[in-house]
Amino acid sequence: MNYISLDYTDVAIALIFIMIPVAISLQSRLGIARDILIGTFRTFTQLLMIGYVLKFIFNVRKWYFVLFLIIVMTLIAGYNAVKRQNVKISGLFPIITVSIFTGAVITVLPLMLIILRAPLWYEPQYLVPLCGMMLGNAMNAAALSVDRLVSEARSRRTEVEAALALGASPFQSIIPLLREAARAAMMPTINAMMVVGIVQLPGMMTGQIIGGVAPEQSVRYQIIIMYMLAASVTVSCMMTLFLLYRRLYTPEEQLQIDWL
Amino acid sequence: MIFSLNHVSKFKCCRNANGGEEKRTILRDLCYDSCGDGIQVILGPSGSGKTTLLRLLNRLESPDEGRIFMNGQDISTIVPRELRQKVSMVFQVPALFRGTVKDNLLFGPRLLKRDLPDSVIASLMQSVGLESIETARDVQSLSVGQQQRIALARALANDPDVLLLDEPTSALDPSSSKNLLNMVKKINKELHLSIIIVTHILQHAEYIADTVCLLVNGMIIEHGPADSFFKYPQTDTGRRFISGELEI
Repeated sequence: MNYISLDYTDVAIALIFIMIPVAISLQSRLGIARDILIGTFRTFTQLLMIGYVLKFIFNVRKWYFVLFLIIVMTLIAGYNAVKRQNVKISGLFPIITVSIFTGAVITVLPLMLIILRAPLWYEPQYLVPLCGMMLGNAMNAAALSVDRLVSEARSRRTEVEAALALGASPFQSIIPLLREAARAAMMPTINAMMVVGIVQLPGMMTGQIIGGVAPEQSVRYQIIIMYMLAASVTVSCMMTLFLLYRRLYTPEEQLQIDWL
Repeated sequence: MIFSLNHVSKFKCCRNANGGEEKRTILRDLCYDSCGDGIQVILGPSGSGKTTLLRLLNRLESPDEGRIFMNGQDISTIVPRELRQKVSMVFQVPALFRGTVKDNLLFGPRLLKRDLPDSVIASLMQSVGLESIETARDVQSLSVGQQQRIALARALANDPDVLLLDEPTSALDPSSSKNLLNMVKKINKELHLSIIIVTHILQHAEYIADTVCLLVNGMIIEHGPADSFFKYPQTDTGRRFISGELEI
């Protein structure tokens, strides 16, 4: 493959770009300059570390190392999705973590086995980056769905209680809110499918093209990725919502007002 | 249908000025038997715990102490859904579901896999004085007064034994309020329903009540037939509430 190789001097030059948001933040008193600098540092160290981890895993090619890495990635994704919530809901971490893991697995495994037909089902060169993409998007969708469900329950509390007061089950009383939350969580992925290739060239496809892969090949990969993202995001957010909604109610089928 | 309250108390955790949590008493050691088929008014100034009491009867909340009985049965032993189908509640604001008038009226019956014939829907609309409104109309296009009456009809569609009304006139103008109260009186007479209505408006209570229960600061101050309560209140607090001199 034909590509331009980069060294750390090139990466250091790219720090110029970071000066722009830092300068604007300081000038406009946005109060996020510190976060931008922390983000800059974390981007550098985290990607550097994962680079070495991937190099190691690609070399040893053992299924348990691959699985371990994917589990660690899932746990971090679950932790981040929970951290983004304004309310403390007990049991949210396992709910989100299991949901995003399920969403990733049920899309990535068929891809590996049926479409790519990789020599090893755990071929790290494919499995790790693909899982990373699925987990990242599923994490955003799950976090968004939880946030939306709680805010909908807060603003439409009387409507939910009116349904309960007429004899509805917790599920029956919250269906419209679940729909709203699922729609909100899935909309970014659907919007991305609408504009991909027109407004936006996705990172993976761009990366492959820069790496020297023929555009028609990278496009095929990207199409498959977009379809997988739609599926994994849907599964993750629906599973999160279905596992979560009951926690908004007491065992006596009362809306838990303390959280709202 | 008779509710009996046996030493019922309800507390709520609130944040105090120092940022800590404190337990506030909403209802304190209530002991009381409601009347049977008449209209019972729970009267009291704002913040006295009236709405919380009504929510306890519908099990939208549970008491922290004490027990509530309905016709002698502890309501905590009844499946919440079954209780709520028998004890319908109408809220301060209409809280209608998105959709048409008919969607709202059919909500309760459909939970029981039951459909209502058009004749029953028409009679529900008539009982709340909205026979001229198309049932295919979007509820958002109705006035607040009409929406509140649809909420009342929706509660009646469940064919309940008890109707709980939480300040149903609070969002209505005086004329709509009077209409709604007349409607409630008519429903009580025609359907022989037990109705428990919460209000802080003395005139409304006087107009509609068969019996009155005065709640102040989470405590029942007095209760009894409406006539004697309004003419001969038994307590100083009752007298001051009626004369509008009660300071909370």
